Amino acid sequence: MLQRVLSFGRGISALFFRSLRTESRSLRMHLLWLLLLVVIYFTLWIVHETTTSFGAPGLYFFRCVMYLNAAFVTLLGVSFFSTVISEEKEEDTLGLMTMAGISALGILLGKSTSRLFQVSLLLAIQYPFTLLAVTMGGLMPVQIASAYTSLLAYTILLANVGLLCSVACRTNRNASGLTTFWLVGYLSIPAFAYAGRMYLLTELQWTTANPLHNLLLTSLDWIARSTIITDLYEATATGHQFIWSPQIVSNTLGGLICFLLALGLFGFVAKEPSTDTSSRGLVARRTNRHLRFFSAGRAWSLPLVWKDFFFTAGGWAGLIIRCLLYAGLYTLCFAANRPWHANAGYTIRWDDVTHGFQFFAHPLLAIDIALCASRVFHDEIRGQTLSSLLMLPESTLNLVYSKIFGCAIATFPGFLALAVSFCLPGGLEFLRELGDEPGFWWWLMNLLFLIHLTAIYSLYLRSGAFVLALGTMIGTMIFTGFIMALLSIGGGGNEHQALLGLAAVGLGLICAACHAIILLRMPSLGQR
Amino acid sequence: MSNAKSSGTAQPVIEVDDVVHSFKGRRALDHVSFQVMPQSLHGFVGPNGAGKTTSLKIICTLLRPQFGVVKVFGHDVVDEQKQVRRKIGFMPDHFSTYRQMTVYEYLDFFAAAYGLSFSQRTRVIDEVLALTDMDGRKNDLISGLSRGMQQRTSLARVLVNDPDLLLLDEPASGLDPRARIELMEILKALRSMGKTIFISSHILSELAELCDSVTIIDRGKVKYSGSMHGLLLTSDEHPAFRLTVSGEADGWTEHLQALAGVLKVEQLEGRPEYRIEFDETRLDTNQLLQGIIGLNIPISAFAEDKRHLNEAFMDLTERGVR
Repeated sequence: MLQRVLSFGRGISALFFRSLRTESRSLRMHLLWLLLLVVIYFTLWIVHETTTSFGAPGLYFFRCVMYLNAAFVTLLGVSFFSTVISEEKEEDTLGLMTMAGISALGILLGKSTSRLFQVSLLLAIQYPFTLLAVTMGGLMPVQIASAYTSLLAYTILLANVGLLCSVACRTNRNASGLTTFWLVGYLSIPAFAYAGRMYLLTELQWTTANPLHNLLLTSLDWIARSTIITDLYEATATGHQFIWSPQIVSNTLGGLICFLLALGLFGFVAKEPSTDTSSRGLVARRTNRHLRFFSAGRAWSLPLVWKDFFFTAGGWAGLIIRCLLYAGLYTLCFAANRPWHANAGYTIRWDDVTHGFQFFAHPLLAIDIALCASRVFHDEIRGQTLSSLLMLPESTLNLVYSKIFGCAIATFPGFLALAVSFCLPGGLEFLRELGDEPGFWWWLMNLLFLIHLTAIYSLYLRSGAFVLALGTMIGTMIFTGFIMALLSIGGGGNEHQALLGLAAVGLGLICAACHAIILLRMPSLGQR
Repeated sequence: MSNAKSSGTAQPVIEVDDVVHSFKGRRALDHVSFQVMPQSLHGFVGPNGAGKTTSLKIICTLLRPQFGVVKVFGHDVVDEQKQVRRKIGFMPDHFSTYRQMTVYEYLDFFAAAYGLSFSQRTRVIDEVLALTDMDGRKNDLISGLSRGMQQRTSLARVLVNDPDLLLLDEPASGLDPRARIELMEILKALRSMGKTIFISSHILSELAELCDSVTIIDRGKVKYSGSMHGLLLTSDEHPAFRLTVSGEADGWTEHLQALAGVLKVEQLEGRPEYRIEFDETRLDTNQLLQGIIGLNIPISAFAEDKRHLNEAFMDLTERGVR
């Protein structure tokens, strides 16, 4: 018995220290630490510069740091935590670990705790800085402890959700995608719960007097408060005392449940043979008579366009799904503008439907293109097919843009939907109004920046290019916003607009530089 | 598949002249020079890390040499990349296949990428599938194929543009004996079609049987480049033959030594076999054989004494792991 316990402990410690050693040697982790420190210093500077504008600079500083941390942990969740086991599967080392006699529990604990430990360390190094917030005013030490506990609970949850997805999926990409999907639910369900509770209270006049109503309202309240966003806000509210909030309890329990599920699932996946990362996705085989329309057929005279249209962007089936997606979005916007109760005097405002559609459709299109961008070059690197491709009697320029064009065709429904929306009532006026706003162009350039950055990251990273690009884009937007706020203090609105225009031009130049980087990077990758 | 155009002149297909290439301060190729003649099957042998793949990548235009000149069919690999790429087919040491495609889609894609028309593609793909014996698997997903089949698919891809020169990097690595033998048969068939094949491999026995010429490279330096026959000859100074006798094996050493022109005779331990080294200025092979017949030795076999390629390889390359 003692020997088994010792052997179990040895397995965990071996994996734990191996992971720590590997990550401590990795430049990526050190850069992340540096980035986080830079962000803290930057926030401090902003607070210092804007002291006159805010009543409680300490509270403002601490809130900024905490929300940045939450965003940072979220990004780590979909990249760092979600690859913990799937990376071993991709490298075919999971079987070796089990053969070495390390139990499932040992592997899961050894692998996941080291990452959790590293991220906790990353948060812990900020603690002395955040204490500065107390001296700056507007914050109590108990609030700092409460906020850090919330963040730790959230980190535990994300680490274990990532672990579960990593155990369930065969590849890093799938695990990362599944974690992202879960995150969307985690962040949106509490918002729906909050909206539902408000609806029940105000529209249906439910009260806590009715036990059944009370139970439902309390449950919805719990769900609404179980997200990190609301809990951080509450923890930093004036007069907050440390309590075991719904978020801390539910996130920690959720983490534990996910770990147990991962443990239960591990036995099945560990027995599977080595990974087969190929999937035809939405492309049917020619031999399938019923789905022949969705097959890739014969190569087009522009073969690279053909290949990426079908095997990167989903082909005809992908095209149809995108059409349905945009039609569904329009229907949703229409439904959201309809009155909930019968109202004889109410008429639909088609302008609002169109504006709502345009508001959601263009970032959706940008995300769709960015997801294609994350695969268009990365799949060639992963499949080691880049050398064969570069051996074709074509210039790199031609190869790169043919591939991009292939993906662009598949994302055409998004462009078409937006174009149609401009012809709908209110569509063009909205565009005309926005077109004069530098902020609109700045936002559009940010979306372009996201797409380009995803493509660039996919050339350098093994996984998580889209997520990291999204994080970088959000970071850049916050940074630009802060700079704008700083520079426009005491200045007029025109200066603010001019600065936004300048920022848009700057982002445009960065996007152009990304093209050059891709063209230079491709041949060097083909040499490997 | 069309036969490669026979070259009237003896211009080398590949000319590597004084090439130097380093990675992060480590010299991968150190003044490497060699040539590959048309319609030959040229082996490229060396230990791991010797510089084989680097040389191949330079020849196939994926890598620019830092110093020196490399020409393929007279075209410079740096300045005339497109011309070179049209004439060669490169198969890297990994499969380099789109695993989510079927065999037919994969070949169709590359054929189209080389600019073949629809009808040409249909014909060429049928031909390469027949040549590689893959016609029964054309609708299979590549990911579902065995390693040997994937290797064949990769070879079929190399052939779709009907290249005159095939550059194959470790084509037989990881294949089972049957798949290896079948691959070698395909290469023989391709050579008979007039293709020049430049093959990097570790499987020396098969190279010895298959190749006309060979280049041995070690630690970035060429140790030997020339005919396979020349490499395998035992002695640097005098030719040698092996005589296998039937019946009573012992006692012939002194008789053989007494023959005029014979320099050295040794009986191979435990075998009815003698190794006879002779002075080629005093004796030719016919005379030696006549002399042996004259001794009434019961001859079972008489053949030129060649080293195994393994021995030559071990002699020329240095010990140690790179």
